[in-house]
Amino acid sequence: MPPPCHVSGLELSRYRDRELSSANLAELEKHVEGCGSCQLRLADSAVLSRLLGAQFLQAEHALPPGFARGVMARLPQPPPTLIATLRAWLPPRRALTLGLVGVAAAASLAIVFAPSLRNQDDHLQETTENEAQIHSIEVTSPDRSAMVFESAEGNTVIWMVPSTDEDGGQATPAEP
Amino acid sequence: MMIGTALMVALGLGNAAGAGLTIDVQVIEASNNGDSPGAQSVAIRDLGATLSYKSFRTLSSEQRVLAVGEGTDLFLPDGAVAHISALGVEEKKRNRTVRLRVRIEQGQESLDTEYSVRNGGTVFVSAGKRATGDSVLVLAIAPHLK
Amino acid sequence: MTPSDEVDRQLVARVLGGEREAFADLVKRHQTRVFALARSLLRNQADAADIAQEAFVRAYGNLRRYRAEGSFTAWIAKITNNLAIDFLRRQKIQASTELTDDLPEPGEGHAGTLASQVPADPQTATLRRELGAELERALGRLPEKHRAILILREIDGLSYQELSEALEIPVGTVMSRLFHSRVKMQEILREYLDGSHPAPVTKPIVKDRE
Repeated sequence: MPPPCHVSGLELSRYRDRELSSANLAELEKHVEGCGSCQLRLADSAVLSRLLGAQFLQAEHALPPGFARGVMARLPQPPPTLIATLRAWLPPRRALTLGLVGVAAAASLAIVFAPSLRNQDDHLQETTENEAQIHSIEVTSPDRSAMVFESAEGNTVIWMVPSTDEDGGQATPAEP
Repeated sequence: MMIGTALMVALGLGNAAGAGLTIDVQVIEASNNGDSPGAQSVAIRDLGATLSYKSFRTLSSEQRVLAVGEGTDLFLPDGAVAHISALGVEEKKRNRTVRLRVRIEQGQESLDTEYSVRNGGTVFVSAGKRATGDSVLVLAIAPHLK
Repeated sequence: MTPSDEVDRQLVARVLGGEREAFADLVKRHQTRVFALARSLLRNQADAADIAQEAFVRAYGNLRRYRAEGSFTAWIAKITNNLAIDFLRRQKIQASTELTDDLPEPGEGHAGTLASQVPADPQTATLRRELGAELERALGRLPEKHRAILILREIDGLSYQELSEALEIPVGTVMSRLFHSRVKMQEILREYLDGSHPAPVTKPIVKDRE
C-alpha cells in the first residue's frame, strides 16, 4: 500500500484534464512520477475514461441511419425559386430527350427565360442533399453488372452484383 | 443529356475552368471475417449501416489534388487500378456540384461511371474482390472544392 | 481556436451565406456526440434521436446568434442539454438526488482497485456486454447534471471553459461537479466489481513502483 498523499482528488482530477497552470502542471507531473497513491488514483480515472469511451462507441452504432437526412428534412424549407416553380410545369427531364419538338420547345423555353433565370441559384438538375446524379455506367464483365442505391446516410452507392441476380430493385446486397 | 447541356449553357452554367479540387479517397475492405478495428470513419459507419458485411477497415486514405480536366490513378490491392478524373464543376450559391469520372479496372473487368455529386459529398464505388477470401474493396470518394 | 473549430466556423459562414447543404456537413461532424449526450440524459433511444435532431434544428434557426469566437461544439452541447432537461421536466421525470459537495473521496485503500479489476482489454463479448450494461446502470444512477458533464468532458472533450459555457455554470462548479461525478461513478463500478462478478485476474494498468 503506497503512503498517503497530500494531493487532493480534485487537484488530481484537474491534473488529469490538464486544466492547471503550466507551473502547477509541471510540479504535479514531477510529484506523480514518484507517488504510488497518485498513480493508482489516476489509473482508476483512466479505467473510467476507457469504459466511457467504449460505451460511446456503442452509442455510435446506435445512431439512427439517416440521422443527418432527418435533420435536413426538419429544417424550414427555403421559398421556392423561379426555376423550381417553372420546373413544376415542365415535363420530367427524361421526357425532354424524346423527339425534336420537345428539344426545340425546351431550348426556346430556356432562351426566353434565360435572362431572368441567370441569377437564380438552382438548376434543373438539382442534386438533393447527398444523392449523386449518375450520368453513365458501363460495366465490362462476363458475369456482373452494376446497381445504384442509397446508403444509410443518403450517399450514393455504385455496386457490382452478379448478373444472375434477378432482383432488379434497390435491395441492399448481402454478400458477393 | 443534350438538353441538359443546352439548358446549362443558356443558364450561364458550365465548367468553371481552372477550378481546383481535392479528392479524398478511402480504400475500404469489407469482409465477413473478424471485427472492425477501433474508431471508424464516417464513411465506414455509413457502409456498416448499409451493407451486411461484418467488418470494415480502411486500407488507405489519400488526397489527390486535381484541376478540372485532370485525372489521377490509384493503385489498389490485388492489381486493381482506379482512374479518377475531374470533368467539371458547377458553382452555384446553394449547390456546388462536381462531375467526376471513375473507372476501375481489375484484370479483364472494369466499371466506368460518370456522376455529379455535391461538393463534399461521398459516393461509394465497388472496387472489385480481393484475391483471397470473400472480402471486397469499396472506394469512398469525396471531392472538395478549393 | 482549434482547427476543428475553424472548420465549424467556415461551415456556419457558408450556411449563413445561403449554402443550406453545408449544414448537413455540420450535422455529420457533431451528430454522434450530440446523440451520445442526448442518450446519456434521456436513457431512451427514440427520445434521444428526437431531441438530438431538434437540437440541430434549433441551432439552424439560431445560427445568426452563434458567436463565432466560442466553439460550435460547446454551443450545440448547450442546446442539446437544455432541450433534454426541458423534455425531462415535461415528462415530469424526477431528477435524481443531487450529489452533495461533501462526498468523501475514496479511501486510500480503494485507490487502484478499479484498475486492477477491470481488464485492460476485455477479451470476451460477454464480459464487454456485462461491463457495458453495468456502465449504463451506473450512469443511470447519476443525476442528469452530473451525467451531462461527465459525457461532455470524457466523450466530447470539452474544456472547462467550454463546459462552463455549455452548462451555464461557473468554472469552479465545473471542476467540482466533474470531480464528484467521477468519484460517484468509480464508487458504483467498484460496488459492482466487488459483488457477484469476479473479473479475471489481469495485469494492473499501472505497474507497482518501489
